[in-house]
Amino acid sequence: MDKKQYERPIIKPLNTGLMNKFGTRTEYTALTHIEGVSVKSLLADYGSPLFVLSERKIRENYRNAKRIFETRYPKVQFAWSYKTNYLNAVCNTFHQEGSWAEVVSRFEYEKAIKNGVDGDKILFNGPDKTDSDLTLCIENNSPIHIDHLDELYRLTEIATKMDKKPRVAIRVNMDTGVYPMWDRFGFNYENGQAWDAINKIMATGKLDLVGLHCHIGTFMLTPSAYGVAASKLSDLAMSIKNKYDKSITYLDLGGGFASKNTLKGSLLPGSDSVPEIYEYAEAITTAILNAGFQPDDLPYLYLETGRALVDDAGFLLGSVISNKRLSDGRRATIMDFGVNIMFTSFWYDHKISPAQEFGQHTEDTILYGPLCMNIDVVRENITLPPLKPGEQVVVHHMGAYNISQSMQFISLRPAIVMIDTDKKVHLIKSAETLDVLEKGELLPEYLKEFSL
Amino acid sequence: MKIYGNGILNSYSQIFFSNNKVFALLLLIISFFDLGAGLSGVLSIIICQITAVLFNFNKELIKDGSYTYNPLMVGIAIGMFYDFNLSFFIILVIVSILTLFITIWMSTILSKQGLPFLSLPFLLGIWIVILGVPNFSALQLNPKEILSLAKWFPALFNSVTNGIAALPFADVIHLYFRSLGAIFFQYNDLAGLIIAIGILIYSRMAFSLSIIGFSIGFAFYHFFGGDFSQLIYSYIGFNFILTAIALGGFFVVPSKKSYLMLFFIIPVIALTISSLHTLFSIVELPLYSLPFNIITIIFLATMATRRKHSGITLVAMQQFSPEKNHYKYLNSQNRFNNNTFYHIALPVMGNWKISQGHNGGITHKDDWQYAWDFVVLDEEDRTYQMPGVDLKDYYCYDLPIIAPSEGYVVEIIDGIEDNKINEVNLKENWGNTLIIKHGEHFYSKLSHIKKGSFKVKKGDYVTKGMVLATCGSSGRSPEPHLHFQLQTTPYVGSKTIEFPLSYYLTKKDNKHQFHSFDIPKEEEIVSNVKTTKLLTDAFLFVPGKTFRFNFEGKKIKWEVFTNALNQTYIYCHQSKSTAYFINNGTVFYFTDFYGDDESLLKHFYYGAQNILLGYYKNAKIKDELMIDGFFNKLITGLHDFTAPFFHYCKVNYNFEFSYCDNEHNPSEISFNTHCIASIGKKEYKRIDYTFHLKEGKITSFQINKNKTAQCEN
Repeated sequence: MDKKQYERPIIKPLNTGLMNKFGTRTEYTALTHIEGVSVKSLLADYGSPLFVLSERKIRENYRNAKRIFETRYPKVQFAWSYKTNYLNAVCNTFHQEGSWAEVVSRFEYEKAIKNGVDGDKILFNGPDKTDSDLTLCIENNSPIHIDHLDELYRLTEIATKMDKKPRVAIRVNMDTGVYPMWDRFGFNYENGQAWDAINKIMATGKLDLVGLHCHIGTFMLTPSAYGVAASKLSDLAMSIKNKYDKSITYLDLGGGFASKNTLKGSLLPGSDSVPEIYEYAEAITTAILNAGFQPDDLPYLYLETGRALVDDAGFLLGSVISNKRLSDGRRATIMDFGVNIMFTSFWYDHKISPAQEFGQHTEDTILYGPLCMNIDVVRENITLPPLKPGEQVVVHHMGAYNISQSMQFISLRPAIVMIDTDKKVHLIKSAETLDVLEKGELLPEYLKEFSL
Repeated sequence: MKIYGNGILNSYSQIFFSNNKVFALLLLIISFFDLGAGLSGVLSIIICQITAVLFNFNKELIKDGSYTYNPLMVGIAIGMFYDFNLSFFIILVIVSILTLFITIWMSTILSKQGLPFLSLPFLLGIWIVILGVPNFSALQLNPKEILSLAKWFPALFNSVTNGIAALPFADVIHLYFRSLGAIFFQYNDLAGLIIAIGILIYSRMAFSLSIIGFSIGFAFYHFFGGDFSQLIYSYIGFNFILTAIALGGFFVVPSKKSYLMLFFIIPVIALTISSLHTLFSIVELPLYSLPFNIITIIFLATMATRRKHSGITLVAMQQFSPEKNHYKYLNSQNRFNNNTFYHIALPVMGNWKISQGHNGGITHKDDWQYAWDFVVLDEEDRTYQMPGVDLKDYYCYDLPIIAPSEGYVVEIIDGIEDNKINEVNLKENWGNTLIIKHGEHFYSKLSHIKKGSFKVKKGDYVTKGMVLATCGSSGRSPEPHLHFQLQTTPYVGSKTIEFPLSYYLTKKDNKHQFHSFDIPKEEEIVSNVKTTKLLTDAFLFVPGKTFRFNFEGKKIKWEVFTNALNQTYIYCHQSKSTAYFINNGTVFYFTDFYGDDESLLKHFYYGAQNILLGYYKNAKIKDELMIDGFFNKLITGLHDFTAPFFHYCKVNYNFEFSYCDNEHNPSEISFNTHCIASIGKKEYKRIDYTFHLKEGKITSFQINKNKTAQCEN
C-alpha cells in the first residue's frame, strides 16, 4: 500500500444550495503518466518545466481528420500550418503522414525546404512576401496565395521578368455570418474585390490561377460558417469555369478548427462545447459537392488545419515553487512556468492536472508564473488540491502556438521532448542556455570594459 | 474478271488451317507434282472465284481462301484420277461450283453454332462425282495413270525414300510422310517431307501435334492389333494428323491439356476410321477425311455446351496459328481475364474496409453470397470512437454513398428507422435501400441507408460518383455499415451475381496496390482510383487525332482511327502498322499490334502497354507481354515446342512514374516503363522507355535512353 499523502489543512466556506455535502471537487484526476512515461521521471531527466509532445496523438489526430474528410470528399490534401508548431520533429511527423506545408514567412518556407518538402507542396500565405520570397516561390513552383493587389502587381512584374508562370491562389475574405469578420486578409467576396482580382489575373495571363483560399477565422465554434465559406469559394470557382473555362485545382479552406481547449469566458469546457471535426467536414464537403462541379472535375480540398491536430498532443510539465495567501485571503500558487512559454494562457483557461495522487479536498487558487512581472498569471482561478512546493502539474492542450510563440523573457525556454509510439522519449529541443539567448548579439568594443 | 491471287494461295494453306504464304507455296508446288491435278486445282479455285463474284458472295471469304479450299481439293482429286477431256471440264465446272455452294450453305448453318465446316463440302463434292458420274454414259471420265514427277525424276524421289529407310522406325516415318502427302493425293515420301517442312515453318505446335497425333494413332493400331491395311490403303492416317492439329491447337487453345486430350481423341479417330472403312468399302467409296470431320465437329459442338469453360479452352478469336492462339490466349487471360462491359466502382469515398465479403460468414450466403459490406476503421481497427454506444460514434455513419456507375434509380425504400447499436430489424431486413439500373438485367443495390438521407429520387439518372444518400444502420444491421451487391433483377432481396469491380486500390502497410477487374476480399481496405487530368488528356486518342514524330531524322505520322467494331487503333502511315488500344478513363492499354516490328509504333506499343491514368507517386504496374518480336526466330521457334507445357521465355512489363511537377494538377509528368525479355532467369533483352508529358500532350518518348522521338504537335 502506498504511503498516505500529506496535505496541508485548508479552511473552506460551505455554500448552501450548491453541489452536495462534499463540496466542489476538482474536475480532474491526477495525471501521473503521459503515453506511459511517468511525469516524475520526465522532469527528473529533462528538468522542469518541460514541454512534452505525444507522437502517437499527433498521428492519431491527423489520421482521424484525414479519414473524416476523405470518406466525405474524394480529393483532400492537408498542409501543415508551420506557425502552429514549427518544431522539425512535429513538422516531419506530419510530413511522414502525407501532409504538405503551409507557411507564412520566409524562414518558415526555408524550414519546410530544409525539412525536405518539395517546393510545389509548400503553400505560401500571408500579407508579407518580399520580392525575393516571390522569386524563390516561382523558382520552386510553390503556390503563392496572393493577399492584396499590390502583391498581385508585384508578382505579375516579377513573373514577367522571369518569364515564368507562377501558380497562384487568391485569398478571399467573406461574410460567413460569424463575428469578427476577418477582412484584413485577402480580397473581399461580397463587394466584388475577389472577382475583380481573379479577372485581373486571368486577363494578364501571366499567372496561373490554380486555387482559391480563405481562412475565415480562428477557433471557429460554428461549423456552418465553413459551409458558407466553401459554397462562396465554389461559386467563385464555378464562375471562373463558366467565364474562362478554367478548372480551379483546389479550394483551400484554411484552418481555424477549434481544439478542445476552453476559451476564457465560455460557459462550458472546450471538451463539451467545441464541434467535432466531422461537423466541419460535413459542412465543407456537402457545400462543395452540392456546388455543381462535374464529378470528374471536382477541385481538391486543401486544409491548413493546425491547432485541432496538435493542441492535445502537447503538454507542459512544471513544478510548484511556492504557495502564498494574497491580501484578500485568496490562495495563490507560484509555478515554475509562466506566460512567456504559454502565450495561449491569455485566451484559454488551460486544463491543469496535478501529476501526483491527491486527496478529496480542493481549493480555489490563482496560479502565477515565475516571472517578476505582474501580468504573469497562468490561471486566474482554478480549483486544485493543495499543492506543496516541488509537486508537479501537467498543463493540457499545449501543442498549438505555445512553443512557436514562446520567448526568453526573464526565464529561458525549457527543453522539449517527444514520446514516440514505442514510448521512447526523444529530446527534440534542448533547454536554452545563456549562449542561445546571446547568440547573434554583438557588443561594441568600447562597451566591453567597465569598472564599478 | 478479277482473280484474287491471295485467295488462290490462301486456299492451299487453309487446308492446314493456315494463312502462311510460304506454306501455301510449298503446297501449291506439291499439287503440281501431278500436272493435271495441279492445273485442275487452280482452275477450280478460279471457277469458284468468278462464281462468287458473279453471285455477290462475301469477297473477304474468297480472298482468305475459306470458300475455295474445298473446291480446290475436289479439283485436285478429279485432276489426279481422270484425264483431261471435254467431259472432265464440264464436270470440273459443275462440281467446283457445287462444292462452293455446299461450302457456303454449310458455313451459314454451322457458323451459327460456332462450328467449322472443315472439308465436309469436299467430301460431298467428290462423292457425288464418284458415285454419280459413272451413270452418265456420255460423260466419259477416263481414269489416267497418276502423272507424277516421280516418273520423271525417280532418283529424287528414291533418294528421299531410301534416306528414310536408313532411319530407325523407317516404317512409321514412311507412313507418316505418305499420310501427309495423301492429303494432296501424293502418296510418296518427298511430298510428305515437303509438307512436313511447310508445317514446321507455319507452326512448331502444329508440327509437334502432327507427330504426336500420328504416333498415338499408329500406336493404337499397333497395340490393339488393328488392320494396318486400312492405314496403308490411301494412307488414311492423315485423319490423325488433321485432328491432332485441329483439336490440339487450332480450334482449341494449345495447352498441356489439349495435347493430353489427343490420347483420347486419336483412338476415337482410329476406331471411327476402322468402322467407317468397313461401312464405306461396301459401296466402294473412299473415306478421305470423313473421320476427322465427324469427330472434330462432334467434339467442338460438345465442348461449346459446357457450363463453365475451363481446362480445354476453345479459341474465341481465330489467329490462324496455334502459336498465336496459345500466346494470345494466355496473354489476354493474364491481362484481361475479368474485363467486363460495365465498369463498377466502389460506392464510397476514401478508405473503407470490407467487413464481409463474398461468401461471408454472417449473411452473405446462398443467393446473397456475392455481396460486400463496408465499414470505416480507425488506426486501431475499430469502427467507432469511444464509447461506441451511439450511432454517431460509428465512423461510417452518415457518410455519403456515391453511385458506383451511371444508371437510373429504379427503387428507393425509405422510412425505416436506424437501429440502436446491436439491435437488428429482421422484419425489414434490407433496411432503406436504393437500386440503380445500369443496363438490361444489371442492377446494383445499396442497403442499410440512413432514413431520409436520399439525395435522389426514383427515376433519376445518376452519374458515377454522384452522392446518393448516406450510410445508416437500418434493417438487419447491428451497427452502421453499407451493403452493396450486383444483381440481374430490380427487386429488393434479389439474388446476387458475381461481378468484378473495374478498378480500385487496396491499402496495406500504407502502400497502395492497384487492382483491375477484381473482386475485393473480406478484410481488405479499399478505395477508388483518382485520375490525373494531364494523363487522361495526353492519352485521350480520339479518332482523327494525329501525331507527328521526329525520330532519327525521319518524320513519322500516326493517325487514330476507329473500325467497324468500335475498336480504336493507331495507324502509322510510314510503316503501315496498326496498334489497337483501349482507353477506359482509368487505364490506357494496348491489345494488339500488326505490322512492322522495327517501327516506332511498335516501340510505342511496347512502352505504353499499360498506363495508369492517375498519378500515384509509388504506383507500379506489372504486366506480361507476348514473346514474339523480342527473341530471335530460333529461340521463339524452339520455345513454341515446349510452350503448351511450360514457358521459359517471358517478357515482363513494368511501369512507374518518375517525375511529376505537381501532384494535384501537374503540367509535366514523366514515367518510365521497361520490357525485360528473359530466358529462364537470365535476362535476354531489355528495352527502356521514358515518356514525357507536358500540358496535356505527349511531348516525347525515349527508347533505351539514347533514341528520342519528339512529338511535334
